Amino acid sequence: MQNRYTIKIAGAAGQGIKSSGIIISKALKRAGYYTFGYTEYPSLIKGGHNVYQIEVARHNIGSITRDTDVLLALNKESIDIHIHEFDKDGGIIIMDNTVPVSPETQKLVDQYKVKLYQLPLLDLATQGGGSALMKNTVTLGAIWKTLGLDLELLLNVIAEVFNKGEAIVEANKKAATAGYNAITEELTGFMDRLTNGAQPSGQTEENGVVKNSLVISGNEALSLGAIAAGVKIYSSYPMTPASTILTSLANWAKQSGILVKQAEDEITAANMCIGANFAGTRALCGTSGGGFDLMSESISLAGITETPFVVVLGQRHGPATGAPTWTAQGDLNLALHAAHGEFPRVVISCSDAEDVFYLMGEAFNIAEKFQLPVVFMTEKYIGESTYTIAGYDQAKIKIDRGEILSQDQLNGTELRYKLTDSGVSPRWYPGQHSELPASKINSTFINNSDEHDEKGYSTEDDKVIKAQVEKRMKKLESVKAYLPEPKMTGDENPDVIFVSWGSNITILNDAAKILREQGQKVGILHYTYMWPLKTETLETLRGKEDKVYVVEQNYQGQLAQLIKRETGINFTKRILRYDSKPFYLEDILEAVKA
Amino acid sequence: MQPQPTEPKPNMNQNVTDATTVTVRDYMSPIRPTWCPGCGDFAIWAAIKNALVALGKAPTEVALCFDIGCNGNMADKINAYVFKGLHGRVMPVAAGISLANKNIPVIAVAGDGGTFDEGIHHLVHSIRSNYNITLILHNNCDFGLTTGQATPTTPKGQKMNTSPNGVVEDRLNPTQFALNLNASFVAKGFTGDLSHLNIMVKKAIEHKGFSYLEVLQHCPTYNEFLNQAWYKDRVYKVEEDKSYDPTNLEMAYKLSSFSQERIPTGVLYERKESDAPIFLDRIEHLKANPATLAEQVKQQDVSALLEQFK
Repeated sequence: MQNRYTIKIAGAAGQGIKSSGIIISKALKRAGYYTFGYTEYPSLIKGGHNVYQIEVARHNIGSITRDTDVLLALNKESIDIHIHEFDKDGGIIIMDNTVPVSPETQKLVDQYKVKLYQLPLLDLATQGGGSALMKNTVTLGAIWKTLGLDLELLLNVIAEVFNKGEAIVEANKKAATAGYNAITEELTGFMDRLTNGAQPSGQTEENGVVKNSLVISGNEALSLGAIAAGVKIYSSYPMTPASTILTSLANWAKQSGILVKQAEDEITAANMCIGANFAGTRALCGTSGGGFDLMSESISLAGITETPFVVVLGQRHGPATGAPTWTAQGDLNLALHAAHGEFPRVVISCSDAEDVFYLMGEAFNIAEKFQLPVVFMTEKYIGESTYTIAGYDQAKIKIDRGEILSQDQLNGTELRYKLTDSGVSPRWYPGQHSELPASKINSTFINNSDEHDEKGYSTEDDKVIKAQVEKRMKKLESVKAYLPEPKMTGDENPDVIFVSWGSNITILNDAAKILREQGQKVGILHYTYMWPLKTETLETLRGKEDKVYVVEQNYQGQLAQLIKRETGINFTKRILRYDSKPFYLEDILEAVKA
Repeated sequence: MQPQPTEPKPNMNQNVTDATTVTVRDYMSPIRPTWCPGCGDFAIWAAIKNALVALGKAPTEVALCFDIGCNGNMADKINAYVFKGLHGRVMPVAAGISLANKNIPVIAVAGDGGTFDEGIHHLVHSIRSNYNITLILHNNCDFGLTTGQATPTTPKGQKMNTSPNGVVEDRLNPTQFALNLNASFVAKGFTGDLSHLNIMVKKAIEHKGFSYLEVLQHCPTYNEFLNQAWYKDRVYKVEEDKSYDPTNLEMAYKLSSFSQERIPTGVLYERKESDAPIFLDRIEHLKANPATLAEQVKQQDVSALLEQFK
């Protein structure tokens, strides 16, 4: 596609596809390019068809395209599946020379004028003293040569990644160099296409940003955001696509001083976090749809006990087991409605590896300021894709724990569920008392799942229950006033307006760039805070419904339904995808054209 | 007649030096108990207060967690920091509190229904994890609050509400269940012997690690089949046998069998802390840190972690 290149590494699970993808992405970043790395894999450990797709551009990108320019096919299936993506003609395919190519595929290779390299990967890996395992490193060198970029950049990343002694580093470098030298032809016009005709100066500000930036996945960024925001406990049960949060935090636990507990189930994870937050720490739990279902009663518990609680809901295609390693936005209704009884909650949806870092801290601030459960939504597409991020401004993270009574302020008369104008009652933690004897005895409260009075004593008195229900529900208004309006970006008087949430924003931004080049004016209204729904900006779209497309990765248009319910505004034009695959950039462009 | 709450006996305070300022009165709540006359919960209620007083802990220096059931109706009948959670879920809540604040005793109170039906896996993994919490298990062999249904500890064949022709499932032996998992502390008490129960609760709280304290009790409304007299005829204290070795797992297991004519109470089994370190001490970087995880909440610089993504 115009202004970008697509590199695909495809093969069976267990062939090191993801590691290779990240090495190439990092090296490209250091060469001054933005990448977006997207993974596809089935739910199995060995075999199957796995793909790491790297989109390369000179500008920030967050979408995938249907075309492929360079394919590393690690097995026969890979070339058979992906040869069709070369139908725009040109491109390079790299394979092992021991993998056969069927006559049908060879015919397409010729027809699409693809340059097919069938390399002796084993020989190239071992000729410099390396082992058969270094075949992957050979392919990295080969891919790199097709781009015509400086080999040193790649070798540096390889040296960092395979940092297991000088001999191993050297052998890997030799293997990469052998692969590099085995490719005789570069991709035609790589530089030209990415710079839209102009050669990169290598020193522009945009390039500078890329060079100092990060190649990071959404779940890694979420994990770092949690650590930065003072989260001290992460409790979770493994479930794709939230598992990589558990992995990341477990790997960083020692360095960051946090406790990571792989719990026996999601019910435990949730209750443990609620207990820990009651006791004054910041505890996070994370799961996907099915695990979130198990947490329903816990969300209700956090609601009535007014215990701060943040749960990550990593969306994948459902219902039930669904398509466990694929993406979706089908759980908005779940996040909005899960759990029995009426209580206020906040639903936040992150968009990419950048905003998720800051939103994690904000989620805890909101949970603690308003003492309620916060459902923090992400998606497989965000969590497991790698983005090029300019870096994080950690000074932007502020910890706000809300109204807390310090130990010295306690005197034994405080009421944990005191009726207040905002609905928020100051809290304090078990184990705390001041030096006053009355405090030592009476600064207690009951964090009570029963309806309760201001002290926390259980009650069935209708007047007391009514007052406490109203107090809790007041917090919904308080938090709504606190939340920012959704961001409206783009052109004045747009011809096309996208309304969306979650990962769609990076895809829509990429689409808008192309639409603008085609002369269209584009606006995007993007929701991060899904509930309580802010509607002021939305109201500016009333009367312009014919220009609005609601873009969602679900069948029902769950955001559109929510908007209709809250405002009466009925956006009937929808761009929806619900087949477990994310939007391709082309999907958006074609939908707008149609 | 059930024992009513009493002041602790003087001998309970003998080895406690800082207990002088705390009294049972401090633990009194203005809310009166709602249990049936003769309920074993009265004794457990008293024993928890007595043990905490004996330990010199003020009501603000402990966290009590309650399940849902007749046991959970104790939640506001005792003045302390209390978390009353959901049915079957008391252990993960208690574990979370203990992980966040390792400086306060955390007690989880639950019944045999919530523990061995809906929350049984929490017991399994709390024992495996050896959280530093105390489980006080009200074992009255039935669901009381929901009007007398069978629990896993109800004898097979017993007619219960919803089992009009008798329970068809095999009975679960709770003590052997805990012993099977090599819990770091397994003790039993009986509501008909309050002074012994006081000591058991105190010992359970003092044990560092997961303490399983099963309290045999009578449910006067729904369980007449295992009544106070039935237990009185059968219970004995293992500590009265000077040769009893509480480190002998096999012996504890054998004595806890339903086929035994008598029912052992007392500390049946206890592992040393060096053999069974608590969960937080199993994680090196946390063991070394004297501050609680609650005290450590602050913004943290992640620059060093970001290096790997450059």
